[in-house]
Amino acid sequence: MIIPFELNGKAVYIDSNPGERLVHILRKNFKLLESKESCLTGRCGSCMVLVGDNPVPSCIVPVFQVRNMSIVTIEGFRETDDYDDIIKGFAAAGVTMCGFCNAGKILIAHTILTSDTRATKDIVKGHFSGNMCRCTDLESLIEGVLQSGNIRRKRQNVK
Amino acid sequence: MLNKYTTIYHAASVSEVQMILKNITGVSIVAGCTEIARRQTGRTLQLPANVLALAQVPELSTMSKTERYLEFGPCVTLGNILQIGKKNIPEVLYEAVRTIGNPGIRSIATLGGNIAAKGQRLSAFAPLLALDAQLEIRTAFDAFWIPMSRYFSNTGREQHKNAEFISRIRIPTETWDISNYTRISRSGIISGTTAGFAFLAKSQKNILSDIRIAYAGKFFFRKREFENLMIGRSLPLSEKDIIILMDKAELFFDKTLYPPSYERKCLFNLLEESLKMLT
Repeated sequence: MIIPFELNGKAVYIDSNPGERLVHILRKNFKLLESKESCLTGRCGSCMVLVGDNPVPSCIVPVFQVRNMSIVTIEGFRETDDYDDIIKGFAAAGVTMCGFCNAGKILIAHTILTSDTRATKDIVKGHFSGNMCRCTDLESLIEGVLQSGNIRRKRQNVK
Repeated sequence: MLNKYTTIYHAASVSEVQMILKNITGVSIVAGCTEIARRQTGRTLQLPANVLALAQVPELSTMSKTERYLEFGPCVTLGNILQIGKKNIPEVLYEAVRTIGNPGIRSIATLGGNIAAKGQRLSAFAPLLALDAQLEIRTAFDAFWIPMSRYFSNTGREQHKNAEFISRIRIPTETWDISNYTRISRSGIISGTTAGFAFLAKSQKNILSDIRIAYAGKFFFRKREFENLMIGRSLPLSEKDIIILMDKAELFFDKTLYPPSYERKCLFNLLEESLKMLT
């Protein structure tokens, strides 16, 4: 089955089994290896991508569902200023980035900051319930998002 | 079940969905596909031979609010429901949706999928049952409204036929003095014992004016006759009242239909706890 979609700003298509998981397609066909295949149940967040503007675990999305949709992976997101804000904020808070669930941590942080750069600790904590990170504690992660919010507000000249 | 023979039909409108249902026999309808993904662990998801994808039908992803009703299309995602905010949807539904999956899963899982999932009834079922929600069902030829309780039989057996789909979910927007949702088993994860219990009550001048009790898991329970027994009682309820009501609940919850089990025990415990909220 031929499935057209937009991947990191480029129109692409694949000829694939419609039941194949999106994470598998991204890794195998497009060599985007930062989305990791891990739990395959949508619980760990290491395969996170942005579908539309929503962070979605790509392991639970059969590829036929992304027909004509826009997908941004962490590799595509890295080209944006928003990425830099998050990385700086995480560095300031001492968030460890071993690399396994970076896609989840960064894209979830981006979603929180897109809706509100002054999100409360509870809101941030709630969003990270879909991300299992073994190398950073939740408190540092929350602090990282709050710091990233400050950096983004400064960049956008928002008081 | 071999994907090499799977045909995916992408509908763009409700009339196209109906046309596909009319022309293709044995088509399986999917929205967010989270239920299919949840049940499989392989690298490739095994899909039925004919799949009709509803997720990209704009008419099925709309939300609207009137003075008396809240209406959701079946493809409204659970994340979108939470975004409306606690003040704008019934609290019991908000709390139930909040316990489903995680934000990532909620951004693709749909309300229609939560209602129509095969096997056990999922988290949104009990609150919708308690709120007297109505479902608009469309077949290839017509459309009609049914109450939630008629979508499945009480013992969980599926009553609907394959060639039909939910096209709207209508929820009355009443205000309740007590609104409580309890999820049995861990939130975010569906297991064999996962179930939901919704309890709603309102009073006028210390008289219980309306009460709703619904349970949904492997089976579901909502008995208007049982609720009517309580309506009109003066509040607060006494301990004696609760004992009498619990005895009467045994009669309504027939042991031949629902044999003693963990779920039955859970329902009675939750019912007793809820009635204590009225003391």
